This record gives sequence, C-alpha cells and structure tokens, in this order.
Amino acid sequence: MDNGICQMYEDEIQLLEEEIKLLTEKYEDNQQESTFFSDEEILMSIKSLQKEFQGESKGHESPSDLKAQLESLETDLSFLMRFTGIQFRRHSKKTVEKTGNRTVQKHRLSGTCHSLSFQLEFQLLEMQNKESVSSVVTDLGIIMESGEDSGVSKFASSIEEHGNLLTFFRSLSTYAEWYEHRRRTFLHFKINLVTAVIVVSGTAIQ
Amino acid sequence: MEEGKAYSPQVVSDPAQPSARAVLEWKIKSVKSMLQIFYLTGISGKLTKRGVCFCISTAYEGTYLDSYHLDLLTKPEVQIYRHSLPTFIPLQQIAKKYLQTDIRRFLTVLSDHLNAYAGRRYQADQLQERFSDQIEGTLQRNSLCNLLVFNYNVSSKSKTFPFRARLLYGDLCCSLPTEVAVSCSLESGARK
Repeated sequence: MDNGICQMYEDEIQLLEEEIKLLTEKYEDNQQESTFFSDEEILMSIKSLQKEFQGESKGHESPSDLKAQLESLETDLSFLMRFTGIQFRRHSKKTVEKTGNRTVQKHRLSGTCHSLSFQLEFQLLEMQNKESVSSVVTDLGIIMESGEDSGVSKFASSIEEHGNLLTFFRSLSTYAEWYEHRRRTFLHFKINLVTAVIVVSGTAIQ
Repeated sequence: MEEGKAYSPQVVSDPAQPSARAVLEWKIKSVKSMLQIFYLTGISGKLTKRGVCFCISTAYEGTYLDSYHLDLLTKPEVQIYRHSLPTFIPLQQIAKKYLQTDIRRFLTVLSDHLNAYAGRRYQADQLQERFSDQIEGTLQRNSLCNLLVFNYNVSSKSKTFPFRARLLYGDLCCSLPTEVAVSCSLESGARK
C-alpha cells in the first residue's frame, strides 16, 4: 500500500481518536453536572461497594481507598468552611466550551459568609499552559441578601464591573465578621439596657 | 436493508441505575469541585498530618495570578514550617504580630500584601506589553514593584516630546500609586 495513503489514514485515525476523547469528556462532564446524589445515597453506595468487593481489588482503587479519599476531601472542605466562615450551600456548573487547552464553565454558587447570604453567577475561563492553569472570571453577577443597604449594593456593582471575585470574598469575609461583632455587641447592650431599666423602674416604684 | 428487521441501538449501561462506584466517584468529583471554588475565594488549603497547608491565591480584577503556599505546624504552637512567598514580603514581621494570636488576621494581612504585589506586577507587565510602542526602552522596577520609572513619548504636531514618569506605591497593601511625578525635557522637543 502506498505510504502516502497509509499516513493519510493514520492522520485521520488520530483525528477521530481525539474527537472521541473530546466527546467522551463532554459526555462525562454533562453526566457529572446534571446528576445529583443525596448524602443517604452516598452512604448506601459506600456500604454496598464494601460488601461487593470484600477483600478483592479489581485493578481499580479499592472501596476503602475511595472512602478514605472522600473522607479526606470532606474533612478539608469542612475545615475551610469553618475557618473562613464561608459556607457554600449550592454549587452547580455547566461546561459551555471545551476545546484543546481551553475550558469555559458557567458557575452558579450560593452560600453564606458568617450570617450574610449571597448568590453568584460567573463564567470561568481556564487555559492549560505548559506548567500551570490560568483562570479568568467574566460575566460576574452578584445578589446580596442585604442588598437594600446602599453601601453593600454599591460594593456589589463595583465588583461586578471589574469581575473582582477574589476581592468580593476577601472583603465580604472582613465585612461579615465585623457585622457579626456589631450585631452581638448591639444585642449585648440591648439586653443590659433593658435589665438596667427594669432595675431602675423597680427601685423608683419602691 | 432487510425487511422486517428492526434496528435497536446498543445500550451500554442503564443510566437510571448507576453503580455504587460511580456514585462515589461522582461525590469525589463534586467535593473536589467545591475545593477548587475555595481557590477562587483567595484562601484555600489542605489539612496535613502536623497542621495545615494554606494556599493564598492572588488576582487582579478577574484574572487570577500566582498562588503562594504556607505550610503551618500547629503543635506545640503555631509555626511556619515552609512557604513559597517571595523574600521581599515581610512575612516574619506579619507573623510576629499575628500568627500566635489571630491566624485569620495573619492570613488576611498576608493576602493583602501578596495581592497588592501581584496586582502591581501585573499592571507593570500589562503596561510594558500594551504600550510598547510608546515606551522608550524598558520599564524600570524594583522587586516589590512599588517603584516604577519609565520614559515615554508623546507626539504632537510633528514634534515628539520625551516624558519621564515615576510612580511610587507607598502603601504596600495597595496596587495604586501614592505619588506620581511626570517630567518632560522640553528643550529637546526633537522634530520627527
């Protein structure tokens, strides 16, 4: 067979293999993003997997490895949420574009920072370079619970304009912590003031 | 096509009954995804056998820049085991002030310094890149990127005026300059 034709077929096979790989990734991403399993279902799966593969290892990770991996990840996540005060309630993402070394995903995130609630929407562009991944946030939309506070809404608008997601979280963290301090301090004084008034009026009546 | 023969597509697996392994793998991916989101908040990390390894990420507007690691030991007291911070960030000074009493504040202050530095460096890089035709030579800067000096040309009516700008960023936690000096050597307005 002519070498040229062979090469042509080989090139075509390679292109098709790359296309299959891309489509498989797209399918897996889609499955991941459109499925949801509750905590009970997760626990049941752990138990069922451990029963099925009692002592066996079929070339995949053993069920105890998977369980350990999950526990380690969940411990890290729980620590970060406690430490930073940022609790994520819901997170969903959808792959909008995936070509070569470029991935664009649309994220929806809701949660609280200490006692303040927020909802976010943004697009994240990730580009794979030789050594690292570069990330850029665009189309950022923010909804804050205390949106009536003009300071907060001005802050949110300025963040949205420049796509400053990192600044949003850092500032929110500081603001929310001080908001908590003020709320507790106010409550403390309110209680003490009411007590003092009762004592004073009690004395006055006598 | 033969008559009477129905074509039925091959079903690889029943998506309504995912395997226990698939469910677990879904959950693992889901938690990993959430941990990646923490990276975007500026402070993320991982528990280690002897403490915590924090990751401080930096960004300028929507563009994420370098991230820095700080490996802390928690026993017998909090101490820095190792880190990837540049030497010109006053880590020891900040640690002396906050590390023992308020780790959150320690990380916030460190994050302020790192983000400001990363922001200044990014802006200097962008200036060099986007205005390369107007800037004469290269931008001069120190390692902290809080002192920038550059020469640039402004053309008007077939005359080119050489300007010199000096930007000083007095606040190390800020990525905007506190002092700007612009000078022009007017006598040498060379003709184009």
